[in-house]
Amino acid sequence: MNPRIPKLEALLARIKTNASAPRATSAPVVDAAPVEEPAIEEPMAVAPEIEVPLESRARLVAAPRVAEQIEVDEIEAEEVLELDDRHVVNDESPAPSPAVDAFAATTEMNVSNLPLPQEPDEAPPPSSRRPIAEPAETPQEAQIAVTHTPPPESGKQVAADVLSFDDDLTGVREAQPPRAAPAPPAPEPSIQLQSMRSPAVAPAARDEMEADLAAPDAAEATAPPPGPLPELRAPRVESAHDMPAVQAGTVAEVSRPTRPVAAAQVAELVGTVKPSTPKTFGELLDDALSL
Amino acid sequence: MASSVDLSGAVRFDLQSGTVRIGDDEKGLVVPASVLGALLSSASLDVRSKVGRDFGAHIGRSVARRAGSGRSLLEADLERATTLLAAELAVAGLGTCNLERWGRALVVHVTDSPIDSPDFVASLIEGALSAATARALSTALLSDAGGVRVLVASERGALRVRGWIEQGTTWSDALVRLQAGGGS
Repeated sequence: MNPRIPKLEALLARIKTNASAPRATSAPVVDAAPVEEPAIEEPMAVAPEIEVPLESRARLVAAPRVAEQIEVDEIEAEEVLELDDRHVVNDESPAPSPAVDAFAATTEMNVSNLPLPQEPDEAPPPSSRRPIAEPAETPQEAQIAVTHTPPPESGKQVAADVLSFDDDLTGVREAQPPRAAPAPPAPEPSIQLQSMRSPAVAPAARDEMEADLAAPDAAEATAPPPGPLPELRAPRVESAHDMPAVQAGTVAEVSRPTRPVAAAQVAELVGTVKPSTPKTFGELLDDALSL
Repeated sequence: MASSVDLSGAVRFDLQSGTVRIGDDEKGLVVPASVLGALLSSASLDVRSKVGRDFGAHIGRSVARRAGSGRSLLEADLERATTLLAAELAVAGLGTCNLERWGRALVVHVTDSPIDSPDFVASLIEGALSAATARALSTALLSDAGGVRVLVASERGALRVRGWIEQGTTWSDALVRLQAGGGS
C-alpha cells in the first residue's frame, strides 16, 4: 500500500469537514492552517479540479492561475498534487458540493478514471500581478473583510473601426441660426421681512430696582401724536413767495438774526498814546528825522 | 509873545568898492529873481539841487549865528526857530516860511518865493536846516500849490515819500502812510 494514501484520506476527510462546517461570513475566508495534501501516484497524476462555486472575481482570476501552475510544475516534477488553502473555498451553503462528494467517491475507487473537468482559461490582467486579496494572517483580520476593487485592465487600445471626427476638432461648423436672446431669469421672490421675526428669547431676570411701566403697544409707540401735524418752516430764501403755499395765503415765517445792539464801548482801549508835543525845535526835528 | 529878530548888519553895501557883504563879510550879489529863475530852469536837477543846498547852507549858517549857535537853535522853541528861519529867507528875498506839524512829521511851508522852482526851494530848505542844526536830514517836495511844502525827514523817509508821490499818492496820504509804518 502506498504510504500517501492515508494522507489523502485524511485530507479528504478534512475537506469534508470543512465543507460541512457552517460559514460565518461571506468574506473569502482562507484557512490559516496549511493543508498537507497527499501525494498522488502516477496513476493519479492529475487531480480533479474542484468545481466549487466562486464568490468573487478575485477568485476567478487568481485561482486558475495557481491551479495551472500546480498542474504544470508540481505534477510533472514530483507527480504530487499539493492542495493549499486556495483550494479551500468559502461557501455560503453548508451542504457539501457535489463535486466534493464526487471527488471523495472517486478517490476511494480509482481516481484516474475520472474525467478531468474542463475549466475555461481566463488570463489575468497583464498589468497587475499582485494578488487582489491578501490572505489574512489572523482570524481577526479575516473577519474584517475588505473588498478591493480590481485594478483596471490596461493594454493596447483598439481603435474603432470607423473614425469619426468631431466638428470641434476640425473647426468646420455649420451655420447656426441665431438664437433668441435668453429670457431674463425670473425675479427671485422678495423676502418678506415682516415675516422674519427674532426668535423668542426668554426675558432677562428682572432686577429688583426695575419698575413696572405700562408698555405701550408697538403701533402706539410709533404713531404720531394726536392732533394736526406742526407746520414746517419755510425755507429761508427770497423765492419762498413763489411757492404754492405762499400763493395760497400762507405767510412764511422768516427768522433773521438779531442785530447787534450799539454798545458804548465795544473796544476797550488800554493805556493812552502820548501826543507828540515837542517844545523845542530840536525835539521836533528829532521826531521828524525818526520817520 | 511874538519874538523879534535883530537883522541889523545883515547886508552891507560898500559903495566905494562896489561890493555887497552878506553874512560873515561874504561878498554877495544883488541879482534879479528872474535871472536866477532863468538860470535854474536851464540847469539840470542836480545843479538846481546843489545850488539850492548851497544857498540854503548860507541861510542856515546865518540862522544859527543869529540863534547864537546851532545848539541854541535846537533848544529854542518852535516859534523862535521859525522866526529866525523866516527872517533869513526874507533878507535873501526868497519869501517867508511856516513850520507845520503833521503828527510827527515836520513840514516847512514856503510862500511868496520869487523863484518858481519847487525842487530848488526844497533843496534850499534842506541846506538851511542842515547847516543850522548840523544834522543829516533830507527833504521831499510835497506840493507846490499855494506855496511850496517840503517834508523834513530822514533820508530813508524822504525817499519813500518821494516814491509814493510819484506813484500818485497825495502828500497827505503819504504823510499818514509814513507815520503808519510805511508798508510798501
